[in-house]
Amino acid sequence: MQNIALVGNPNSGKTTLFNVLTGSNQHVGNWPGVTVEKKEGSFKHKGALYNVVDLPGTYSLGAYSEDELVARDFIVKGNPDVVINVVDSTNLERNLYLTTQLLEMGANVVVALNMMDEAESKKIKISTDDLSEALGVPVVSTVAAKRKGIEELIEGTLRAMDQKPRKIVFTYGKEIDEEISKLRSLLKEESLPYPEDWTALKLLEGDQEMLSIVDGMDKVKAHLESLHSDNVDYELDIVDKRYAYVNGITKKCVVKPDEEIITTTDRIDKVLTSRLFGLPIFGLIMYLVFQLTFVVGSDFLGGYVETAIGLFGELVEGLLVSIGSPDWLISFIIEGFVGGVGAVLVFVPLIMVLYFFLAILEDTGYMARAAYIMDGVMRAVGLHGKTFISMIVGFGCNVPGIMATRTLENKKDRMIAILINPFMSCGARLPIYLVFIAAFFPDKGGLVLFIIYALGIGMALLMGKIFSKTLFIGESSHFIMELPPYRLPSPSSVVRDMWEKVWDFVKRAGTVIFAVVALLWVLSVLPMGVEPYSQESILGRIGEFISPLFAPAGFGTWQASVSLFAGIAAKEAVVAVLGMVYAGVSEGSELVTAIRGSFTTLSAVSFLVMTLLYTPCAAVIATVKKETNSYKWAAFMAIYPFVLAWVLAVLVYQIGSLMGF
Amino acid sequence: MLKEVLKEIKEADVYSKPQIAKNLQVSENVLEDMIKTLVRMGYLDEDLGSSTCETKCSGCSVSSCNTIPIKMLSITEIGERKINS
Repeated sequence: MQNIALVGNPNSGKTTLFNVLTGSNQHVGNWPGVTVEKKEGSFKHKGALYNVVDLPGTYSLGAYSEDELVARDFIVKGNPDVVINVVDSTNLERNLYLTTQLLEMGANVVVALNMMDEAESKKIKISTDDLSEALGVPVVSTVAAKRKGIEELIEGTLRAMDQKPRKIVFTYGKEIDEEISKLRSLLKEESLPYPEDWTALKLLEGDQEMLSIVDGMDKVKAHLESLHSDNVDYELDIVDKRYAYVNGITKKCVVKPDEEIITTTDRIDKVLTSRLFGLPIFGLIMYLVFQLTFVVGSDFLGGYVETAIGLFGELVEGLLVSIGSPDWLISFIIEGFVGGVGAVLVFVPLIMVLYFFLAILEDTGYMARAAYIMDGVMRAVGLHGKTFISMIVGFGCNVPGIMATRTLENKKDRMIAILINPFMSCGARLPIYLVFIAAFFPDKGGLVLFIIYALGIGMALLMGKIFSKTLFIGESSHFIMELPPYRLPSPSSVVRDMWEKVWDFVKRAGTVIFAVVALLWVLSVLPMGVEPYSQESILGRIGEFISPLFAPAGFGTWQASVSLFAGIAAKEAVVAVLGMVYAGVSEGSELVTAIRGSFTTLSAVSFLVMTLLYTPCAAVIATVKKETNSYKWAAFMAIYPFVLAWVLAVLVYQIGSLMGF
Repeated sequence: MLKEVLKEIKEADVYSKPQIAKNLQVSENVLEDMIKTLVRMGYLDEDLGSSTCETKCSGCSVSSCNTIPIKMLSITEIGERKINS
């Protein structure tokens, strides 16, 4: 019985053709030693029975996957009488790379130009005669799915069985051809399971399987080692010749309609990523996001959560009083938990809306453009363009933002990216901004938030520039990015993305922030007998001790000082502490009123600058230690942003005071 | 042709498959294969984004990870040598 092998790219219709040829006469097993499925079947034609083997779908015949190895081993060692190469007509250029490799192997090939109906509908015209002439093998048009051209393919295959394959002489350039010739003569002296020409070619390509086969052949090995010691690498040139060969054939045999390569994405990108408008548009989009966040999150949703937390507090307080709970417990639950944690939770609607809009930007593909737009800016200040990706991640949380710098191979680029990441306003800092915006800039929320975020980016770029000129001098490597096409955002993906972030925020408020608040509550009521939440409490005394440091910045009160101190444990704790220490005012609008009474507009701005830039939270510092494996850099991460933030906050307050604000 | 792909990437700002394919007069699928080959041979370095999504982040207020699907390519040292050869 004569053997026919079917080989082709994945999705070329090979298995459909196999089913059409063999019908129900097929069986499935495994190729020996591997987990690749082996499909074999048979068909009868004019009384004779033919065996058909469906080889795994593959794009090439290297040694880079089990599929490739199985396919090429069968073609070389299995000695099929004919190899039917199933080719997708709509994708001829790609498919012919495999054909070229089959021809290099000296296989008796018949090309089944499959899916010709689809090619015709795409107005792709292929001259089968020219293709057959160029390849030196029979070419038959088929539509396997519609059983068209099958008879012709069988006839062509049977004819090819009776003929010796026409040997195509490939040339890879003088130098490589000479090397093939030298190796061939050396290989002739050895006993090989493969043709010498093909083995020589594969050895020059650095094929690992072939190299292991010739491992014991001293002369061959010595020759290859001499090439290796001369740093000769022919692989790229050999592959290149194949592509050039295929390109030449398709130019000769295929006529395609002029493809419209200007896509909608290209048109949009012409504006959104243009050198002139890209950056201002990015700024405008972010400004709109912040504005919408306030309109939707604050004006429409904000009140409900605040009212709910207020009602919850009243309900719990009533319940605790009714069951005769001790005062300390009522104080802890109402002022500590509801006042502290509630002060953070009250901003969930705004955070939810902000992440909703950011998720939309991400899902449409715009955030990738933002990274591209900023790439130019990053390079201009001596930073690696990839740094902005980690910065975008840092907008959610600086911990994964710092971990995202792992993609920067260069140590200099990575260290700078790590050190500037905390200037990206993470989600935990949002409640601080929102409280102060509600207190001092209720009508300009979007603009103020935009300025805060922009200041963070600006500071990151400035410090990046300084670091690249001082601590980490060196060149940044060039890279390019592939931008995904624009698409309509998927509602489920946007909601899921938003929900994951908001839920984690809520979970953290109920765990980490609760623990921080519980500890601070204890400090705020001890020692026994003092007025809770007063200056005499331990917390008050800590605040009192550090407050002179912040006096030049305009917020030298013990409450502000202790809230900043708590913020080093976790940024949300700043608002939680403010909610707690302004005793009794608790969450929401009452806290806003208390803050309005304790800060001036100028000291509020100065406080915002401080909270944006000062020492990142403990988790970030621990991550810096882990990622840099250095206590020195972790300490630097804790100290330098504090100094920078303090200097800027003082400058803001002092210059503002001089100007009469 | 592969060397031309390296040159196109070196001179480009953005990896636009349609544009590079048009410049080289090859199909986008073939260009994709060529790039895969160049990555495999070590002439190009491919970065499909950070792995932060796979890393458990216990210290974050939000489970933020890099979900921005940006594929980045950079030319390696041997890639640079090939271009200049």
